[in-house]
Amino acid sequence: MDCGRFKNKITQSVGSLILENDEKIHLEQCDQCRNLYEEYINLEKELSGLTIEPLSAVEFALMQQKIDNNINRYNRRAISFYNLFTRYGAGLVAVGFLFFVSLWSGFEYGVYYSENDGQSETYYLAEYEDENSSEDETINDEYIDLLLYDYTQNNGYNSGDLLLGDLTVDEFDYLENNLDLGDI
Amino acid sequence: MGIDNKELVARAKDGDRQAFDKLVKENKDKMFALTLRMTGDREVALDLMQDTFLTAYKEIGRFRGEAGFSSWLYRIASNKALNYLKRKKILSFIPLTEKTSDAVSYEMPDNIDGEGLNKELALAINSLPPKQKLVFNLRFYEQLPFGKIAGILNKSESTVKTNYQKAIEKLRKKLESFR
Repeated sequence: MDCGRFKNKITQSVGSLILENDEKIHLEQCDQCRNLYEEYINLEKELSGLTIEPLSAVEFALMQQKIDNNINRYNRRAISFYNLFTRYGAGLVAVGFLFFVSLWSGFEYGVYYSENDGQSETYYLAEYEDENSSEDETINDEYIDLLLYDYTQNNGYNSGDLLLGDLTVDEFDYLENNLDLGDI
Repeated sequence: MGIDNKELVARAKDGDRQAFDKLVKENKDKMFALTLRMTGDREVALDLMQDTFLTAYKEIGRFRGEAGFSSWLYRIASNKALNYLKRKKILSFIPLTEKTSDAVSYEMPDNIDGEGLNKELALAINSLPPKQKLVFNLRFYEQLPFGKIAGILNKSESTVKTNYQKAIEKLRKKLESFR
């Protein structure tokens, strides 16, 4: 055994210094390693003498009480979180589920249902638009021009009888007041 | 880990507080010795130990039982002690903080002559870098094998051995200089 290996081995063994046969033989032959070994023996002895005052029963009791309090607080917090989840979490999950279902099935997001008859507001809007999107029924020159154009397109230019017969009273009055009937 | 210990851990995992209390009682002295030797302050050691057991309670569900329960506790306590020392080091850079003694409150045995030597050694241990000090305490005072220490610290065995050798060498030089 060489000095390097011996030193390496012995430094790792401080705390449980037990020599094997080849190490003992090396010690007998090497003064330097013997001195080092003695130093380590002394160090081991000194370090072993450094004891600490063990945990007293009172200290442990106090500590255990603190641990218990902390554990109880932790458990209470965990339980309250569980309660919160069971109370509101299921509702949140259901709302989220419905939201995804509505997206998936193509429903318009945010549709409002009327309280009275259960029809959506969009339905009313659509109906309102239909009612108001019809052409302006005011009888004027433009209206009459369009009316004449429709008739001439459908019935030809020589269909004056039909034209007069199909006119409403308002239409006829307008024509009588504004146009020379001989033209028609 | 003995069969009883395994049973206790299994029961503690199921939320049995009595089983957990038994595990605390079984390991309290080891954890206290480590935290006290690492911090040198009894109050801090008690706080760290309390913290260790609280963390163990919260995280016991994650304990897989590959290593012993005490090794797992040593790991938690070691991390807490290292974090404490790191925080303390950072705080020591902040001016106007009250400096406290770094010496561990070791009991000086009557059979060893020269109280000064013990004090010097205690200071020497405390002045070791945190990781070397941890390895030294786990090996020398807790008598854990290198392999187990490596497992606790998540380091290779050779790294742990090197740390131990460096710590021992520093302490030997300190002793030599004192004589």
